[in-house]
Amino acid sequence: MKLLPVSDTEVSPRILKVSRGTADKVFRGVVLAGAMFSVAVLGLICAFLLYRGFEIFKDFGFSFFTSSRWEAAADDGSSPAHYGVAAMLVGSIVVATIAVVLAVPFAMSVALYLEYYAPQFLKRTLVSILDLVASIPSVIWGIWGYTILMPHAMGWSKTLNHWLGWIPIFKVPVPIFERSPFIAGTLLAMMILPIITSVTREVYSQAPRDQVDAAYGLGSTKWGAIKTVVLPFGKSGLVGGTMLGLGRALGETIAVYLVLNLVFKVNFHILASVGGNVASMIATKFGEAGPYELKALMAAGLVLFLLTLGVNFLASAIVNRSKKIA
Amino acid sequence: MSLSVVGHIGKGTHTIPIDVTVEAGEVLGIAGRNGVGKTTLMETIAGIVPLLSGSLSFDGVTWDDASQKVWKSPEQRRCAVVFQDLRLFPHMSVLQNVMFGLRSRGISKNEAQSTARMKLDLVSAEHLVHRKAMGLSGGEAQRVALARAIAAEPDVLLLDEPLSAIDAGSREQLRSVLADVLSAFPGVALLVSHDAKDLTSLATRTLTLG
Repeated sequence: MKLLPVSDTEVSPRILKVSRGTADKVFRGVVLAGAMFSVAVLGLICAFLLYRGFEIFKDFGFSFFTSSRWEAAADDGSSPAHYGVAAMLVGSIVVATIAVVLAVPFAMSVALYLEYYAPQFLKRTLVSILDLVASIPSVIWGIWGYTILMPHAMGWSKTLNHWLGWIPIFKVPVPIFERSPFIAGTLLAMMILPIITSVTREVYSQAPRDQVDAAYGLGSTKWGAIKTVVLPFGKSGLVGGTMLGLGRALGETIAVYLVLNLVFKVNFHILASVGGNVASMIATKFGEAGPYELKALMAAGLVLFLLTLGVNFLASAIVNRSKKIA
Repeated sequence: MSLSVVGHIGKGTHTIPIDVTVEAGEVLGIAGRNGVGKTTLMETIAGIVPLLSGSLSFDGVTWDDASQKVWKSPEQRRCAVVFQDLRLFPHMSVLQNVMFGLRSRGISKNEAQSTARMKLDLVSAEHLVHRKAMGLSGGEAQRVALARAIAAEPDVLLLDEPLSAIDAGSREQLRSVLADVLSAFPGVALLVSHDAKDLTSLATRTLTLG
C-alpha cells in the first residue's frame, strides 16, 4: 500500500453542516426555551432588585457594604436614614461557615458509612430517614432549635469559652450565651447535613469499583481503599454538596431569626449573643419598613442574591477544576 | 510454603470447580477460554471475591472456608495482583503507585520509597518515577504495574495476563524482565495467559480451566 502525501490544507478541521429533522428541531427548541427561561428568571430577579434598590446604592455608595448602621430617618427629621449591611453580611458568612465546618465531616462520615459499611437493611432505613430530615420545614427546625437545641448548645458554648476562650473567636465580651452565631450555625449544620450527605453519597457510590479492587489486590484495608480511591474520586462531589449546603445556609431565614440575636454590629465572637444574617434581617424589617427602608431591604436582598450566586459559581469552578485534576 | 484451593469459585450463578496446590518457587500457568474463570480465581485468592464452597489455604493457614465461615480480608493475605487492565491509580505518581502496597502494610515512607525505586529499577522503569500514572504508554504502565506488585513483597504473586496489552516488541522485552522477576521470586506465583509462549517460557507447569 502506498501512502499519498497530504498537504496542511487538506487536514484542516471540517465544518459539518447538519440537516436536522422536524422532531429534532422541535425538541431542541423546547429544551433551549427551558434553559433560557431559568436564565431569564435569574436575570429578571437581579434586575428587579437592582431597580428597586438602586437609589440606596446611589445614596450610600460603597458605605452600604462597609457600614453596620441600619437606622431609619427620625420622624421629626432630626437624623437622616443610614443603611449598611456589613454586620449582616459578616453575620451571614460567619453563621454559614460554622454550619459548613460542623456539617461536612459528619456528612462525609455518614456518606462513607452508608456506602461502604452499613448493612443493606440499615442503609435503606437511614437513607429514608435522611430524606425525611431534608424535608422538615425551616420553621420547625427553628422552633426545635429555640426550645431544645439552644439550652444544650449554651452549655457547649460555656465549655468552649472556658477551655478555648483564649482564642479570639471563642471570647465573649459579656457572658450571655443564648442566641449566638454558634447556636445558629449548629442548627444550620443539622439542616444542611442531609443535602451534603445525599450528594456526597451519590458520588462515593460511583467510585470506580475496579480501582477499589486494585487497592484490595495490593493488600489494602477498606479504609486504605477508601482513602486512595473513593475520597479523591468523590472530592468534586463533596465540594459540590458543600456549596449547595453553603448556599442554603447563607439564605436561611426563619430558623436563624428564631435562634440568633439581631444586632447591627460586626461580630466575630461566635459564642456571643450578637449577630444576624441578611435573610433574617430582611424578614424582621420587611413588615414595618417605610418606602425608603424597603429600598434598602431590596438592596440588601441583591447583595445576598449576588453572594449566593457567587458561591454557586465558585462551586462550579472548584468542581470543574477537581474533575480536570482527577 | 504452598497455596491450596479446593472447591468452587465463581460470581453469580456461574461456578467453576477447582482443585489446585502450588508450591513456593513454582509458577503455575493458567490457561482456558474467555469467561472460564481465570480472573475470578485470581480475585478469589486475593480476597476480592469469596469462595463459593471448599477452602483456600496458604502455608497451613485457612484464608477462606465457606463451611467453616472463615474469611481473611485482603490485608491479612500477603498477595499482590497485576490486573489484566493494570488498574494503576491515575491520580498518583508512578512512585506513589509502587509505594502503595508497602504503605498499606505499614512500611515507613522512606523505606517504602527506596524499595519502590529499587523495584522500578528492576523493571527498567526508574526514569518514570515522577510521572503521573495517567500519562504512561501501555508498555510503561505494564512495567509499573509489575513493579507495584513485586514491591509489596507478597507471598503470592498473581499475574493476570500481564503481557496482553502491549505491542510485540515491548512484549518480548517485558517477558524477559518478567522471567528474571519470577526466577528470583521466592513465593507462589500464578500466571494467567492466552499466549502459549508466555506459559512455556514463564510457567513451571500449566493448568487449563474449563
